[in-house]
Amino acid sequence: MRTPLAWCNSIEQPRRTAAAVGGISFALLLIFMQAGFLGAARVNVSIIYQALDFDLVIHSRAYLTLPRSDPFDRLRLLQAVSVPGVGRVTRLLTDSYGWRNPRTGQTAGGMMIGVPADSSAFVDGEINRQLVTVRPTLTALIDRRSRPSYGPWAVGEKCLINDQPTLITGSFALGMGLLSDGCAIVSDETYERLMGPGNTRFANLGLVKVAPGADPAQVAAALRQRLPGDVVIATKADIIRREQNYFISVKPVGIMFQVGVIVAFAAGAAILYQILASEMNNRLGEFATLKALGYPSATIYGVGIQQGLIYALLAYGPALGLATLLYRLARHLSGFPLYMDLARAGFVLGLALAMCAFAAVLSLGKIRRADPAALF
Amino acid sequence: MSLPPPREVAIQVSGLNHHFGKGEARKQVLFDNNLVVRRGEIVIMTGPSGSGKTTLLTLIGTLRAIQEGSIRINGQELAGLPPPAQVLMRRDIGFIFQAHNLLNALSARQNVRMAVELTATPRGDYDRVADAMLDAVGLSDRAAYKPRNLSGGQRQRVAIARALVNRPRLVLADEPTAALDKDSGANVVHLLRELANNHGTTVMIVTHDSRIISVADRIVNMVDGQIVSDVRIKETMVICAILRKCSVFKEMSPSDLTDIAQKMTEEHFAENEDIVRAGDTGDKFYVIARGTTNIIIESAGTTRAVAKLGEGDFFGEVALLRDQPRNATVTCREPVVVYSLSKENFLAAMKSHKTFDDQMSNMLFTRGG
Repeated sequence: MRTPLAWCNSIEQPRRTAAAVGGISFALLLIFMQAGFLGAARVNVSIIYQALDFDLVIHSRAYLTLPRSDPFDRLRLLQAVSVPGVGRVTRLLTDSYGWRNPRTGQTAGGMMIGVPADSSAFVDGEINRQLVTVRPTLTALIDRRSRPSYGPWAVGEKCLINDQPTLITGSFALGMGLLSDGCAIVSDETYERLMGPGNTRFANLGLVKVAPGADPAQVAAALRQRLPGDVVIATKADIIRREQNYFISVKPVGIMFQVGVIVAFAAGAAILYQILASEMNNRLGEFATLKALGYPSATIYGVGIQQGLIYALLAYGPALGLATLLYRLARHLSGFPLYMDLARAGFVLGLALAMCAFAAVLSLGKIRRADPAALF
Repeated sequence: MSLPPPREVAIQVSGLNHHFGKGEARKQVLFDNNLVVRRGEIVIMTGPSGSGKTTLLTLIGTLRAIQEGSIRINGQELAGLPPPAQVLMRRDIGFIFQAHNLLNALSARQNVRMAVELTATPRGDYDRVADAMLDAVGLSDRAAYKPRNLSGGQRQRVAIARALVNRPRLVLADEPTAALDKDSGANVVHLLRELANNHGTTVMIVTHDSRIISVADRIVNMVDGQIVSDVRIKETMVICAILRKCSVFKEMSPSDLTDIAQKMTEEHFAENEDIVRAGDTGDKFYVIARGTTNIIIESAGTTRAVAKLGEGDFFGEVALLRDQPRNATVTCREPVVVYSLSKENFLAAMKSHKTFDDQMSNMLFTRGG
């Protein structure tokens, strides 16, 4: 085996190396956390669409994101039903509401979803089964994962939604996370009572299930042909992608996490550059000696690059382990869907290697100045 | 005592100039240097600091680009050599620096291995080769030590082991014994001598250490960027030994003999070749270093060998002293090496030395011809 010079150089001063690796590791951990939150937010913003059972969705041309879904004429849904291959069409209404806890007087916001009481619009059978209980007006199902600001409440008690007493007939587990404080599922009639009669003619979404055996893509094409241009037809995957894209690229919170990743990356690269540059400076004489021995410059650059890789990889291991632990902790404390997956582990490893490349390009120029003639 | 047959040229420096700096600050540090070093020679370079010794050494070691003139190492011209070829050249050169320049993160063994790993040595033998070399410099029990745990002398010996482990054809050293005690210094010098003798390694040492001078074949003295003297110690000693045997020089002091010896040039003649011919104008004085010759006189149309001259004999003085043409022909019976002294130098030496003059007159008187 050849002498592992890069490794020997890297561990020659263990304390200094440990400090530098610790710094890089911390930067990678920050990246893991930011990327984790970003990933969890992606899951989070699509949570309602994931919970609803549909193949295609009809929404307004002016639709931005679910909380800002421009209502459209519900006549479009009737038109859609007659399109061949369409199984059923469910009208969905949504908007935000004000919550007040009658016991404690606590107030909070929430997202209301209105569907016909006799529909089975959800993937979760528990919700579908309970929909019959909201048939009487001013009844609602409330999300058990609503924020603590909802205060104590129980099924069978009344709460105030938009200041109207509403009976809680059941509960479900969804968790709005970043979207809202809580969630209430009501019938479309209750929705009109709570939100105002102006909603009667409108729908926010039309959830389309295709008939058994029909191809969703063909049905979507047929719908596009039949329905006027004020509505758009999207598949479930499309609308989820659109929702995530809006959150990550347009909403400040998504951009914030991305900036966090970039800043942590820059910090890590700066630390790696610092240690690599000082290492190259300290060993300039040794590199000149290697040149005098007859080692080509490429080998010496190789030693520098290997040292960068060693620092980056030494830092990556602890960062990965610690991030996995912190994800578990955060998940436990907040219910936020933070999970370590292979893609994220690979993404951060890629960033660590990019840091190394970045630092190497900036610091290895010094090697050119290692002059063997100066050794005498 | 005689000289080994001359070996091939290892280093040939010709017309070498070098400048440092640019524009206004440009300063010439080497001025028209010429030097020929043969294989297996140990050359010591001395001179005041700043005289250009080290610059010359780095130029020979392909560590610097040649600006003007030429250096040939084992026949390979260094001027204009592209960098990758320079790197390859360096693998054949062992550098011993004044500062040990060891790799601090590596053990003594690994430091030596870094040089071994540049060769075609099988990977399994790296440690064995490195350990053998460390043993040769007396450090077998320190192989696993890092430089910071070694003394200055031990570090220097590791550096020497690294320079010599591949048995380079050329060793360039800058004060190699400065950090060593008497015994280690002698040991290193012995190693260099052995490499030079057994492997034909050429060694150039910049040093002020008089203890080393005894192993040198030559001493090159540089002053202000120029080689001012180039003394071939061994050759001079051999010539002096021959000169002492000559009756003419018997009474001369060693320093006078050395002066004469240094002015003599080595000449080679093949079998049956004439060194001087009867009738030619005499311009040189000869001492035979090796081989035998016949002295042939032509008289009355017949040629006759009147005498046989061998190692330590001399001839040619008569024509110089009397300003006459040669009175006999000297022919080689076998390949012959002679040292010749020009007429000018010969007469100058005679004038400066009274006894020499007297001796000569006596000689001529007894020998005639």
